[in-house]
Amino acid sequence: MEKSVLDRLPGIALNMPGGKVIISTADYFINWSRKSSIWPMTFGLACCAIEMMGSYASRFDFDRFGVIPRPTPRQSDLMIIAGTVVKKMAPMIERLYHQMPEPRWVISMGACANKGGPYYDSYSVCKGVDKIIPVDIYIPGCPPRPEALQYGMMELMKKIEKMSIAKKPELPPLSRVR
Amino acid sequence: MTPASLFSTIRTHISDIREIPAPEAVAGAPAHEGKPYRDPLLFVDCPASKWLDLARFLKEDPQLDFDFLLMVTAADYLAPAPKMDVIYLLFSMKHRHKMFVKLSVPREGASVPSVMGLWKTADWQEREVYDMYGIRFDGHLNLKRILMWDGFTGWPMRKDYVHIPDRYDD
Repeated sequence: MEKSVLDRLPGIALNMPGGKVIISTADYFINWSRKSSIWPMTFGLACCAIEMMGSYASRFDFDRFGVIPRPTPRQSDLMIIAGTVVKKMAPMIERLYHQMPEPRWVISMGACANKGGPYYDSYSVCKGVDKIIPVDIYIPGCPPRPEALQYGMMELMKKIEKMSIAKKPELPPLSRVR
Repeated sequence: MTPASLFSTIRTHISDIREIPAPEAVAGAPAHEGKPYRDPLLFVDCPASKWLDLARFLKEDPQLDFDFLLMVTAADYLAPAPKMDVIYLLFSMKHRHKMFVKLSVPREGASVPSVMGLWKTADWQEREVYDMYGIRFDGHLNLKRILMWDGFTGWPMRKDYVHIPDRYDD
């Protein structure tokens, strides 16, 4: 596969004098554009999705952060796992995650998506979405209020700010993903 | 119709049924906010072999006219005697009366005639009971799991269900 400009730029720039200035300037611009237009997938699983919808609506108005839900995984950067992940749904979540273009992020919203929540002893609930996909931000709560999701979104923006094209993106630990 | 008159009407046609009396309040138990321990509805015990006759009679008799099946569920008992109950809640839109029908079946290899032909609601409800308890419904046209995925083993709502951890568990 042909390498993109972003893949080739660090190799060229780092070998020339003052190249790091180019890298950091490019980083700043790229990260700014990425964090200012986080497009999440329209994807809700349970009651957390109601809070997520409330966050998109006028009172909390995620549009002002550039967070605009997209109807397809192929156009989205972020997957908000809003709700209980049942084992029947887990393969579909995995497939949707792999359909998203890189770089992609995942927010695990609520107690169920984090660790199974009140359904921890259930036969049908996946004990945390990090069993199937890597997660960037965990938001506690049952369900978390829109303010909590907003805070999680801003933490994700801080995380995106630290990314650099000169190094591989920092993935959350994959050891727990089986 | 009152529960007593409902029961006497049914009893004249189907003689095998038995009324389940309301459970006695436990002595010394706190008052249940002044309410009885069970709704004043008719609870009927019916042998599974007679269920199709009873169901057809309940639906087609103009006095009873139970045209709406509210729910189908089941209950698993290990003690005192191991058995399972299949529970039907019926309602008449015209006469506004309700009644429960309970079928006692053995815990293993149980099968009950399906009432899918009488009430269409029974289709998915009976599939759910089959999914959760493993009770087979004879005459059901599409008896397969509805909530759990294909390939799931076991009947999760049974009392003796043991969960086998898989890759989604800790």
